[in-house]
Amino acid sequence: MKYYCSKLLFLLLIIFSVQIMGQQRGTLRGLVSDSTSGESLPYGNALVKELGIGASTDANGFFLIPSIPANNTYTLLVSYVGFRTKTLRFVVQPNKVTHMDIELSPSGVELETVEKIGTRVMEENATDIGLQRISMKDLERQPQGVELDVFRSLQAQPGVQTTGDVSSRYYVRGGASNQNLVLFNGVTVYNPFHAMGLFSAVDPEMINSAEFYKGGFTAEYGTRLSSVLDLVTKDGNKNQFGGSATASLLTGKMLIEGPIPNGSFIVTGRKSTSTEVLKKFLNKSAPFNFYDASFKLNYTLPYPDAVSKFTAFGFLSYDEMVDDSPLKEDFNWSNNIFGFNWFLAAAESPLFLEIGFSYSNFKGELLPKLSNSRPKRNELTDFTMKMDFAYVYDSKDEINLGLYFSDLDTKLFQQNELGGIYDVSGKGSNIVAFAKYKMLRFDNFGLDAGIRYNMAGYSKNGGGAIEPRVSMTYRFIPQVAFKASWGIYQQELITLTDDDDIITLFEPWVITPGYIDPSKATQYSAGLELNLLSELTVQGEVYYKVIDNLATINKKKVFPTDNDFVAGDGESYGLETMVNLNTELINLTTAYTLSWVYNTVDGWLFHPRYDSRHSVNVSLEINMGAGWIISGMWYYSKGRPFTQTIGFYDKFSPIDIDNPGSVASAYFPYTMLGDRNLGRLPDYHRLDVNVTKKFDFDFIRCQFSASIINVYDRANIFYFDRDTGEQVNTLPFLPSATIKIEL
Amino acid sequence: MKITFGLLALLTLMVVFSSCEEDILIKGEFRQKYTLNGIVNGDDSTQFVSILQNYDVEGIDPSINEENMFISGAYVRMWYKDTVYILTDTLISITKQNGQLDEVGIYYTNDFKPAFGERVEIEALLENGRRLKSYTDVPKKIDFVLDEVGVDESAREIPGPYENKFELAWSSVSNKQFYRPRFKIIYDRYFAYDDTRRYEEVPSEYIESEGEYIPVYSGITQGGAGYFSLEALDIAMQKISEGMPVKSGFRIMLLQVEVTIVDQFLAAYYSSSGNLQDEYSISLDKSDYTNIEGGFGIFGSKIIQKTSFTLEPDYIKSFGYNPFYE
Repeated sequence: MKYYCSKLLFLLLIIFSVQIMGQQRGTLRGLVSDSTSGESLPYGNALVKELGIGASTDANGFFLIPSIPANNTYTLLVSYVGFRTKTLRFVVQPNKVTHMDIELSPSGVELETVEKIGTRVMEENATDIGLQRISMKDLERQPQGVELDVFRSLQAQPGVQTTGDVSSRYYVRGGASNQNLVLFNGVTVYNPFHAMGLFSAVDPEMINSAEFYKGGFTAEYGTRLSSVLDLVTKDGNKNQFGGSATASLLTGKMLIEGPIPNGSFIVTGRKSTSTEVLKKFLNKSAPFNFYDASFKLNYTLPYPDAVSKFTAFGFLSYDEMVDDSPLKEDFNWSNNIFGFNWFLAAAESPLFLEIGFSYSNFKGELLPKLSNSRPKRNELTDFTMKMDFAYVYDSKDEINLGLYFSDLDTKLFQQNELGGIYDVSGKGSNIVAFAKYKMLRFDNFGLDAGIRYNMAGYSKNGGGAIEPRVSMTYRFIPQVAFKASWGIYQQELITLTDDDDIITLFEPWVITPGYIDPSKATQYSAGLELNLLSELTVQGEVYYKVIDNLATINKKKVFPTDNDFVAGDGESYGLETMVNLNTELINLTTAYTLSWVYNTVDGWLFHPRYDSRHSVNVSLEINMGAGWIISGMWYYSKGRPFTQTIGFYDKFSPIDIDNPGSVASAYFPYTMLGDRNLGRLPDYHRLDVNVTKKFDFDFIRCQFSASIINVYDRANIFYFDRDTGEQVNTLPFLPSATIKIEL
Repeated sequence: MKITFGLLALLTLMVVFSSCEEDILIKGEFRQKYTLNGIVNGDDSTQFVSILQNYDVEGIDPSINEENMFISGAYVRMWYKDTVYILTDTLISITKQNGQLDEVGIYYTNDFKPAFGERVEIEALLENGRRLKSYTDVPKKIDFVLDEVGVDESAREIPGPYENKFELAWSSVSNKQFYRPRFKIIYDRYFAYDDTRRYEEVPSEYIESEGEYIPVYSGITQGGAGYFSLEALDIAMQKISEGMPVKSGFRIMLLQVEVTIVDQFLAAYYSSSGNLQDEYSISLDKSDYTNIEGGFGIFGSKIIQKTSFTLEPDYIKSFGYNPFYE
C-alpha cells in the first residue's frame, strides 16, 4: 500500500509542477446557477462570443474555458433551456483562473407565450460517445405515467431495452440488468427499485441532473459491465425557504428546501398512499407499502475566488409487503446511503479536488411464514472512500487521477427447495487507482485515454485487473463528428437471480465466488454526429460488446453442493440512431435501435429475453405556451424471445413417494419446452400522452399533469402462463393524474 | 405547425396499421420424446416402472388428451448386485379422480428387494430402438438420535419431558440422501360395527386460518431432524374421535415415526416438481429435472425406517381414550 501511495504522490508532484507557459493567457471558470433557487444548472452552455469558443457546464454547474488571451474584454453568453440567456462582459488575468458566479433567470411562464429555449453551444471535441445527459427539465416533459420515474425515462433511449411495462429494470446494449451501475451523488445504490422493480426508488424531485452512459464509460467509472447512471441531486434553494407537495395515484410526497448560512439544504420524502393502481401492472393486488427519503446539506466556504464546498447527503428507502394470510410470505428490503463530500476548486489554479466518504447498505428479506417459500436474507454493506483530482492545462488538456477504496461485506442466507441451507458470507476490498488524460487542445479533436488498475479486488480473482479505456472525437467539418471508444470493464458483484424470472422480489447481491473469474467485457463503439442545423441533431452509433465469464445462475443446480453460478459468455452488437429536432415550439426525438444479443451458457447459444431486433421510440413535445405542454411517446419493439412449447407429456407427481406403485397412475400434464428463447412474441407498441399545465395562484405555483398510458389499448403480451395457456398482457389503457404544488 | 400535424398523422397511421391482432407461434415443432418413471422400493420386493411417450394436442391445453400414452413391448432390465431382472408389462386397474375404474400399463418385477446403500441400474430398450437408462443408489441406513433430552428410549414417553415440541433427530454417513419424517398415532377403534386399526397423522404444526386448523407437514429436507408441536399432537388426538360422542371406543397404541429416506435424484425431482416460488415472483421457464438418459422422468429409490414412542397413559386418558399399554 505504501508503495502505491508513494507512487501516486510522485505522479501528482510531477503533474502539478508542470507549468504550461501560456503567456498572456488565462482561464475562465464559472458556476452557473438558477437565480431563484441558487441551484446549479448542469449541462448549460457558456460561449465566448468574440472567440467562438465555449464549454458546457458539468453535473455540478461548473464550466472552464482555458487559454483565453488575457487583459482583453470579451462577451460571455450563458444559456440554459428554460432560462433567459445572460450576456456578461469579462476580462481574464494572465496565468490565472478568473472565477464568475453566474445566475440565470427562469423565463416566466405567465409572461410569455412560449418558453425561451437557450442557445445551444456545441462542444466540438467532447468525448461523449454513449453518453446521454438528462436534466430534470427533460424528465418533466416526458409522459409521466403513474409516477415520474428516471429509470422509465431511460427506456426511451436507443440501446435500452425492457422486458415489459411492469418493471422499470432496463437492459443496456445486451447487458443484464445487474450490469447497470446506479450512482446517487457518486454512491452505489444496490437496489434502486420500489415495488418489485415497478418504480425507481430515487425520487426524481431530488434529482438535479443525470448522466447516462450506455457504454464506453471512461476510467473514473467501474464495477459494472454495461452502463452507468450517475444521478446528482439538487443542493436546495440558497435564497429562500420553499417546498412542494405532489400527489399521484400511487404516492404522496413532499419537498422542503431552504438556505443556511453559506449553504442550503433539501429534504424530500415520498410514501405509497394507495397501491390500487398496481393491480393494473400485476394483474393482482399486492400489499405493498414503501417510502423513500433523501436529504442534502451543503456548506460553501466564503472564499472569493475558490470554491470549497462540503456536502452531506443521505438516501433511505424501504419496501415491505406484509400479507395478512399466514400462508403467504412477507418481504422487506431497504437501502440506506449516507455520504460526505468535499469539493475544492482552487483559487489560483485550474485544479479540482473531490474527496468523499460513503456508506451504502442494502438489506432484503423473505419471511416465508407458513408458505411453501424458503427463508432468504441478503445484506450488503459498502464503505467507500474516494479521491478525485482534475487539473486543466492552458492547452485545454485535462488530467484526472483518482483513488478509490471500497470495503464490501455481503451476507446471504437462503434455503433451497430441499431445505439445504446456504449461509454464504463474502468480504472483500476493492482498491482502484485510475488515471486519464483528456486531450482537448485541438478544436476538432478530443481524446480521453485512461486506465483503471484494480490493486485489490472484492473477489478472490479480481485483484490485479487492468481496465484501459479510450474515447475520442474527431470533427471533420463543423457539422460532422466521428466518435469512437474502446474499453475493458470488470464486474465482481453479481445478483443471484435469473433474467428469465420476469418478476422477482428477492435479488441478492453476492461477490463473485472464487470458482469463477470476475466477468469481463470488452466494448467497442463508433458513431457519427451530424449537427445539420442549430435545431437538428442526428446521431448514429454502432457497438460491439463481448463478455467473458458472464456469471449466470446455474439453472441445473439441484443439490446444495452444486455451484450457484456458471460462467457463460455474452456477445451483443447493434446500431443506434437518434434524430432530435428542438425548436421553441416542438421537441421531436426519434430513436431507432437495431441490435443482436447472444448468450452462451453450458454450451447453449441463445438470445436472452431482452433481445429485440428493432426498437423505435418517438417522442414529441409541443410547447403550447401559457404553461401548456403536450407530449407523447410512442414505443415500438420487435417481439422479444420466448421459449416455445414443443409438446406435452404426463409428468409423474411424486407426492406419494411412499407408494412406488404410484408411478402407474400419479400423473399430470406437463409442457415440454423447445430450445431456449427460439420463439418470438408479437411486436410491442404503445402510445402514451401527457398534458401538463402550469399555473400560479398568488404565491403558489401549481402543475397539473394528466397522462394516459397505452392510449389505443394495445394488448401487448407480457407472458404466457404455461399452466393455463392464458395470455397475460402488460399495461392496458390507463389514465392517471399528478398534481404538484410549490411554494 | 405543419410538420407537427404531419408527424402526428404519421404516428396515427403507424398505430392503426400495427394495432391488428397477430398470430403467435406459441408452439414449436413437435418432437417425440419418452419418459421413464420408477421408484425402487427398499421396503418391498415388487418394483414398478412406467414408460410413456409424449403427445401433442390442438391448442395449448394438454388436459384434453384422452389417449393412453403407455408404451408396451419395451425390453426393460434392472441390474442389482450381479443379477439382471427383466420387467414385464401388464395392465392394472386404478381408480381415477372421477371415481371411474381405468386400466393402465406398468412394468414390474417382484423378484428383488434392494438393501440399504446398494446401486440399482435400469435400461429400457423400446421397440423403435430408443434406449432409456438410469441408476439409483438406495439410501443408506440412518441412526435415530435418542439422547437429545437425556432419557433412555425405553423410558421415552410423550409428552414426557417435552415442553413445546417433540423433536427426533437422526444421523447418516451419507450427505446425498434426503428425508421426510411422518408421525402417526396408531390406534384401534373397537366398536361393534367397526373394529379396525387406524392411524392419525400428526403434522409439524397446525395453523389457524379463518377458524379452521390447517396442517403443515414436513416436506423432503436434507435436515437431520423432524418435529411436531405438542399443540399439533393435541389437535391430532382430538381429531381421532372428531364427531364421535363415545370416546372410550378408541384405544391408543403408540406414536410411530416413519422416516422416508430418498436418494438425491428423487429428492431433486420432488423439489423441482413442487411450486416453491413465492406468491409474486413469476418465472417463465420452470426447470424440469430428470436423471433419465435419453428421455424424461425419474428413476429414484426410497426406503422407510421406523421407530416408535409411547404416549403417556394419563395424556391419552385426558382425551377420554384408553391406552393400549398401561
